Amino acid sequence: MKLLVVVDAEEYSRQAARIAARFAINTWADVTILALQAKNGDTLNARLLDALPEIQCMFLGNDSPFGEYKDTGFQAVSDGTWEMDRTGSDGRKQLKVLVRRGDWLRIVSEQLEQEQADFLFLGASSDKPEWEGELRFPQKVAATVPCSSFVVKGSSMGKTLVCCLDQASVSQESLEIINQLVTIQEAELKIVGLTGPHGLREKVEERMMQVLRYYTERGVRAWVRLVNEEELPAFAHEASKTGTLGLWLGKKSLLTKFFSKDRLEQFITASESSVVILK
Amino acid sequence: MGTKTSILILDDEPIVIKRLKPSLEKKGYEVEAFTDSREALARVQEQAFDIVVTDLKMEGIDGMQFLEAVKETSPETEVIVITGFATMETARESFRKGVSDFLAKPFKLGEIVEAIAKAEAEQKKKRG
Repeated sequence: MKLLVVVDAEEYSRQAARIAARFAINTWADVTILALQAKNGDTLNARLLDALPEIQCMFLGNDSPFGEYKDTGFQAVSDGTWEMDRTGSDGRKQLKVLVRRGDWLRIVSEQLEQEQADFLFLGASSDKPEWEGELRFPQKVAATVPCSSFVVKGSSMGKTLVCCLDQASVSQESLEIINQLVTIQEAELKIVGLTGPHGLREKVEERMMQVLRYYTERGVRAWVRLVNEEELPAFAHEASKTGTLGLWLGKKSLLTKFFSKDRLEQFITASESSVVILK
Repeated sequence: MGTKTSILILDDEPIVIKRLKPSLEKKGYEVEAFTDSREALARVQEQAFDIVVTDLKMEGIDGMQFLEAVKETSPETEVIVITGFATMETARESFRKGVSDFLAKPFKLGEIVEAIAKAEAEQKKKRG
């Protein structure tokens, strides 16, 4: 598995990095930490340089697959991009740190493509919906990128993962990401099916049962619950108070009706806890 | 055994087999795939494979028992673990038992191809 962890120099990024590090150390994932700096900075930003050693150290340690600590310093690899390979000589997996400036959304998309990342982590502040003046940046990333993403709010994931499902086609990748999240967090999984005016669509019901069977056969504690479509925004808001909320937003998802790009951004902003967008 | 590198894949999820087997065959490997760990075990006791790719959490014989049996029967076989339920403990235990790589799901095809290439190189080095 390959992870992209997008950070700046703020506390919410440290929190996101802590959760990403735990995930990476357990899954032995290859990791790229992508630090974004102000668009007009010609040199490496001093606050980022202060924050990055602490963030990198979260990924290192006795049980880490990245090997021993080493500091080779950043090398300018192109205009506005600096890179440091932090993989120790005894490391089995790669830990790379990049600092980039420019159009942040474009940079994240480019890096995802380049790294072929499977899952993206980034932090969001509960009280200030912006990254250095870029309004709702984490929310925009989660709404835009093609892979699943974890918008981290706060220092813990909670012990419940509530995943809303309304589509018959659920990607294998998203099922596997949920496996890993609930395994690492020892969390309980709640699968929420959406019912419309005519009840639960037959195909969705069938898929829900398959998903439930998939998890129970693998020893994951999973529950199924039905929620009326109209009550979804209120339900999702309530669920986000007690644990992490997962939204399957695949191409065929009806959830996109409730969580259009703008509304998804608003929802993540308003959510009291972390949100996982599954694609 | 022919000149091609032989690979046995064991995963109880047919979708994983469906994805991996043809892709690895296209890359020139000789691939046998199983969703049932008992059948896979019987096969590795019949024939030594160059590389074994195994899931961990399965009905019947689980992946840890399976990889132990593979290493016991054929110590030269390189084993790659793929798992949907990774933890530090399972990774540590896998490496203690001699696996060459540990990949958590989901992964892209390129990642497993890279792990297989590394395992092949390691095996060549050991064989001299």
